[in-house]
Amino acid sequence: MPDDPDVLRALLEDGKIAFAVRGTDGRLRLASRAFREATGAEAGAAAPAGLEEGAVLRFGERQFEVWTSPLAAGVLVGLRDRTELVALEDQIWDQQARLSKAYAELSVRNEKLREHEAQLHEANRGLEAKVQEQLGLLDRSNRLMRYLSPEIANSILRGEAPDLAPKKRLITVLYADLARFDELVAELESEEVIELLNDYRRETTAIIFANGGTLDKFITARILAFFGDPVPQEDHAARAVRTALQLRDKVRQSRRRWFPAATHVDVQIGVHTGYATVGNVGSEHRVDYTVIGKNVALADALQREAAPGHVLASVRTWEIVKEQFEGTEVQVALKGSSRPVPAYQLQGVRGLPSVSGDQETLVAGSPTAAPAAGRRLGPYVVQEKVGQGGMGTVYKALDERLQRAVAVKVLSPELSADAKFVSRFKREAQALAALNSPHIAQIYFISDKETPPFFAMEFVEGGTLRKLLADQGRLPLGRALALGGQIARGLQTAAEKGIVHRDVKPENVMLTPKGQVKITDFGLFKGQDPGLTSQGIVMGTPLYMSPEQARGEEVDFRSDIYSLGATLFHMLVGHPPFRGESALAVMRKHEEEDLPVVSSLGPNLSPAVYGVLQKMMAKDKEGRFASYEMLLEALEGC
Amino acid sequence: MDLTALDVGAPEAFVEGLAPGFKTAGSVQAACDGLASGLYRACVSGPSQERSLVLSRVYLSLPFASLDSGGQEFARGKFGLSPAPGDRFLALMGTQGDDAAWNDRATSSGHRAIPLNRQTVTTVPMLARCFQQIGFDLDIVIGTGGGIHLEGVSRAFGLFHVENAPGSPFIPAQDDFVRPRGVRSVVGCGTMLPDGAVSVWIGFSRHPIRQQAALPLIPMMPGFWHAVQPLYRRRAIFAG
Repeated sequence: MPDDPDVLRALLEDGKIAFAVRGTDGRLRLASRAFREATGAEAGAAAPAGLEEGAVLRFGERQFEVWTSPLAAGVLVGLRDRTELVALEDQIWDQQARLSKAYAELSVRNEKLREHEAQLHEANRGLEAKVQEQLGLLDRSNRLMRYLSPEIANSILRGEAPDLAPKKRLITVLYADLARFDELVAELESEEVIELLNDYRRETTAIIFANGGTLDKFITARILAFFGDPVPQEDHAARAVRTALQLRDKVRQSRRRWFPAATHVDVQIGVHTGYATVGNVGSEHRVDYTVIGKNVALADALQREAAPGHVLASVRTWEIVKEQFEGTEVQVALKGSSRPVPAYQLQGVRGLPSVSGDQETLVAGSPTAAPAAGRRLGPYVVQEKVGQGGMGTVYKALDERLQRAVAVKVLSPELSADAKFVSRFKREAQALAALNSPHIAQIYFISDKETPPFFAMEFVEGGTLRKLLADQGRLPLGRALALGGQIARGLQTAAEKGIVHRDVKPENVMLTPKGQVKITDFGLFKGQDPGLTSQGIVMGTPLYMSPEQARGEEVDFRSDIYSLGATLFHMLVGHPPFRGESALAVMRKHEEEDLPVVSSLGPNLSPAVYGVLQKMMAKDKEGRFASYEMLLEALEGC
Repeated sequence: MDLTALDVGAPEAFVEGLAPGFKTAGSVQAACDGLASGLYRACVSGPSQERSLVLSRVYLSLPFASLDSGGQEFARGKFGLSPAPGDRFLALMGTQGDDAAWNDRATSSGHRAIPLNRQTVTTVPMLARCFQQIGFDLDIVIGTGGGIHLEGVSRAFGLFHVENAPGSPFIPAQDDFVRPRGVRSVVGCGTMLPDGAVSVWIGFSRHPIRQQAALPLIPMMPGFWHAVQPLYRRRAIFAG
């Protein structure tokens, strides 16, 4: 307690401390200004109630805590202002209530997440078990699918197929082998042989399975497959023959890739129908689903006697499929047989040409072995075989009189026996000879009495457009349009003579070293006489075939415009417009499907070029260019 | 209220329902008694809606000087202490249970006022476990001041939970209380007041309670003290 009256007065009047002295009579002896302001009590007045130690007093909006101390004959009373502290505590209470609520909610959610995590973990374990089960099933499936088509394998896995125990069944057996395969691969490294065999097996297996066949075994390039078991097939013979023809075509299409140094390689196939024992054969350690019996041996013998590129079917198979396939009777001397037996050499599906895609048309610079080398044909001496056309073989030959190279096209021996084909062959040559265009290979000579018939034409040094596309993929826009224009001019010349090419495709477009187009192989043209290629028989290559040609309808020059459009598409995009598993599938697409959208076709196709292609390839020929002049004008405007 | 399947918000709603009674309780101790007995009666479970709680108790930490006379005597007699006025004790403020003897603080044989010091808050099993789980800052609880804690973040509220009480080292009186009374789980929740005091509710349940089911209890004690704080500010701690 300050003794100096002035100091005491200053504290009472100016200080922030609220205090007062309460006398024994309960009245205030003195009070500071802050005390007076807080309580409203003046010195001399009765002290406010509740001024007890520790009490909390509220005066208006403010709260005070009381502290007291004895002082002489009275009590010194102090008021500690707790207003701000209380406000702060209030905030703490509120926040604590809110925070604890949020904390509880989050904790509950967290626990639920943990529960879900545990459930997911459990579910994951369950899934892992299922995956293991599925992997086991897949393993079984994979093993089955090595021998059976996926559909049959799946039906067996589903328990729907008959049992696989050995039993006698009427089936059709197919043997196929690449001629002189061992010689062909003798110079290759083992890794190359394996790679080649893997590719060959993959593609041939796909064909067998696509026809519902059962692949019994591979022995290097040799294939044994059968049809009609384990799932019975009424048309097993037709399936087997179709498979054989497709295998033959596949080998022709792919042999350049498989055997770059021996492009003449071909497949020998034998097909026979008969009863055989089929089923699981083996020991407890190794079981094979296989076929055995004398009829299997007969198919084996047929295959061994088949010439390269030929499909030999037994008489029994032929009798079943002869309405569906074309074939020629031949006599074969089978091993173990004392005299020749009849068999049938199969050419293809009736009404459809073989879609061989053979790429060897007039390919100068890539000669193949020439079986007729040195043979004289009229004034020409055959040097080497350079290609296979629609109806015959093409050789490079020397014109001894003029000492120049010519291409000699010789009608195939099979067709030479057919007067109708011979007539057709000569008409082709005469029609070509009538054409005078720098973009059509020139005819020099037509045989008269020689057998087999042949004609000689301009030998084009260079390669085919097909080879160029195979080497370069898509062509630059300017080059593609220029080549398309040259082809159009050549076809225009033919059209002016009433000639329709009917098989415009990259294989039939030769390119000289200077880049000039020479259209070849008018072997399918109709000419002015419609009698030879009768309506209803489809000829041509489906990849570039017009819809009306696919339907077997009568065609005119607009069909060639369509095929040229498909060829131009290939040049611009890098592949034909429509592709499919089979010739029929491709033909159906030509008839029904729109061109792929322009945005999916790469940078070459501007809307203007795409528009020209759409018009060239209109499904209805009435929607195409009405003349080659109009087409050429449109191409030049791109 | 089913402690085995509590909904979020249910405990707070329960406390809000008791709040009008707290205003007329006259003391913190009366309010705590109201909470303990209210929970004892309200918590039921099972098809027969059997009461879950064998015993329900509310505690508050107070300086020795603020204990009621019975509490001070208990502290001195039970523990043989001569506490300073500021020494902290965890005082039993409300109790309700199956036995009549458990419904009067005065008859509590061991928990009427438990000394809070560094030894007890770290070694007395249930006390240490309870404070540890809730997350209280023990320096603040025992009154030695705050500071920087590097061992983890302390919390002003939280949950105490022992799912399997029988055989648990954290729950005392296994033979005298837990097993004979069929206590299956122990749950609790607590909060720290702005002045550093702590308050907890502990319930001994005859029904098993999973931790996830007990989590909604966390905001119950902050809610309770939010309602009771006017009494606490007035230092109206004990009745009379």
